[in-house]
Amino acid sequence: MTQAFWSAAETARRVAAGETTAVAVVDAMLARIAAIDGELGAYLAVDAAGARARAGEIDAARAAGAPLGPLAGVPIALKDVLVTRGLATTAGSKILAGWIPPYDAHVVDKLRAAGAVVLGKVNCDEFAMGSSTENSAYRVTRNPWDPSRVPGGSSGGSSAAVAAGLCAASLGTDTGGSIRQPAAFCGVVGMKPTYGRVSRWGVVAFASSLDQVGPLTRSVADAALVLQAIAGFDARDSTSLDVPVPEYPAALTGDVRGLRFGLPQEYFEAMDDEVRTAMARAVAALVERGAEVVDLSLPHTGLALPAYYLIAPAEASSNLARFDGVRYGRRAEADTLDAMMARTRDEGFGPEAKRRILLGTYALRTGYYDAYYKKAQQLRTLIKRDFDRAFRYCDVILTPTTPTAAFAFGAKATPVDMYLADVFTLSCNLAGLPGISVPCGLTEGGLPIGAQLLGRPLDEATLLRAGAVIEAAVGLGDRRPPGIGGIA
Amino acid sequence: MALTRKEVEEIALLARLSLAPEELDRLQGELGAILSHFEAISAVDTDGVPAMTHAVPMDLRLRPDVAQPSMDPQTALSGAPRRDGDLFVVPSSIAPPARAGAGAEPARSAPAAAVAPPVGASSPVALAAGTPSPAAVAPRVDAPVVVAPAPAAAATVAPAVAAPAAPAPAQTDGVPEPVSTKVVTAPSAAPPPPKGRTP
Repeated sequence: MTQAFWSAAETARRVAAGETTAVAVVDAMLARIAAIDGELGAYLAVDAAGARARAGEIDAARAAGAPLGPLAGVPIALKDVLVTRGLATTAGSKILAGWIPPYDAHVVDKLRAAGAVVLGKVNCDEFAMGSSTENSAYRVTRNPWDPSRVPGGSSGGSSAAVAAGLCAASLGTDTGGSIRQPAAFCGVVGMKPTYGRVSRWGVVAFASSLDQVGPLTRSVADAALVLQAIAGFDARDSTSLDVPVPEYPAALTGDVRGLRFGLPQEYFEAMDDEVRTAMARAVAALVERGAEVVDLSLPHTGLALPAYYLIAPAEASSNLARFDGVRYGRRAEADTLDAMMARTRDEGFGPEAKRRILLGTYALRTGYYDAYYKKAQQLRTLIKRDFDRAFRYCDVILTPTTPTAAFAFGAKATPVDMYLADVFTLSCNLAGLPGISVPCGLTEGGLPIGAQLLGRPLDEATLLRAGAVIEAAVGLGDRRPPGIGGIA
Repeated sequence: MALTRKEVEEIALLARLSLAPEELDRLQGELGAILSHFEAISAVDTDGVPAMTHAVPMDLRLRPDVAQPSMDPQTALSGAPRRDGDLFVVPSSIAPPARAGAGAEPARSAPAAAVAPPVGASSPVALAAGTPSPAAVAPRVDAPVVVAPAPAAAATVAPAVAAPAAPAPAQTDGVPEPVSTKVVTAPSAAPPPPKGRTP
């Protein structure tokens, strides 16, 4: 396989074995980004000097016989909502244009400690609000499988870069599906860990009770490797869970015998025929390998969309109040403090951020709180109880990640159309569960389809184990995007 | 569910978004359409259902009330659009007079308004960024706002950390400070002393 598509595990192994150097890996990646990314549009900032310097340190450490981390020399791209010391971080928004963060996010520290090399920052919907990366204030990111289609979102730069071989792995964030949906659209693996499993310290906040950082990779094994590096307690995030982290790579036993997969009927009502067929193939493959399948119901599924689109904007309106032109980011000049803030925010935020800020402000207004935010949090309890009950009958819930394969640019004409694209991924965040999207085939038109697995809280290991079996049985194998960034 | 134009204007004001009339028109329609999708939730019986506050049950952690190292002021201020020493500089909260003739009485509105945070925002001046420079702030705390004749943009220097107000200098004669393009003020109410600071 060409070097661009080496897995994270293979890259680290080769660097450690001296078959290549971290500098050579980085140089090859930088050359490929220069050749392809003008058309693909995944990167917002490439840190060539920083990546070469870091790679040089890894090579020097190896030469000195120092121990290397499990991600030694692995080139990684970070969604641009993860703050990076000395490297511009925009969250896809003009309001942070030019801001150079003075510190690294916790997950960035953890990746570097594991030996990873940060190549740069990749595109996303503004403040992670969107499902197509069309809401980025900076550039269009294309789907490597079909450049006329979106890469998904909000972690669309991550999914496109991983699929096109412009990094070995990427970190994204998932608030309502923003890792899993773009992973499905671009034919890669995307995992949202349990809420609290990975620290949010240094993540530009969108909806704090839903946000979680996770890996996008070309294989389930790499997802396990990257999750291992970033998971764990961090006192700087008050919602971080102080619980043991299992050995994720060891969970990939290849064995699903006796594992019970629940198929929630509410998720199989409306989807494209090709998605339905792909799901049936995945289910059949699991049964063939000794898994059990049970039909079940998650009766409050229909409430996830309204609950999510009240809670997320409400929290966003509060989180985004900090962008006021005072301490960082851009400032629009005006005579008074109020006018300066209002102009800064008007000029700095794009249409979707404004919509959600206003929606959230409305929902949190005096007299409306009980009818909207509190009611939505009660619905969230009902949704969580559905899952609690379901996991008495199964170990893993299997659904499609999205009702359709990647859609074309501009296809979602209204905000509500776009919101409906997330219908299968929202409940996982509302309930705080871990979820993973694994490729499970291509449409006739050659677009990837994703299968979503949802697990019990903190049971990422079982999702990785089941996901690897689906990957081996009905995944994409060595098929790569034929268009931009492909081997062709 | 239809939103009135007035409601959209009100929430835009609360959210500190200065929107153009066309934008308000468009958002009025869009927000109404989105909210209409949420009407179904009012029919759901949630009597006795607790609101979910955490996805995974956990106890809030407490740590010993001991000062810990944090970002130094220069680093914290490194992204400030405007600064002066250890201070974030922001425009005055009071609009400069349209015309300031010779001998005009300077504006004397309450200086506290100069640092009022936007609704829902953390205070623009209270984020830890180190100790304010006493030389820059202390002598003028609680002084009347001083407006320069026809300033292009009168500026207010606000302390980066809400520190206890220093004793105000005597200002009994009502004579304003010498003309300056920089106005220094501070919150009128002395905030509680910050906790956990090293002596």
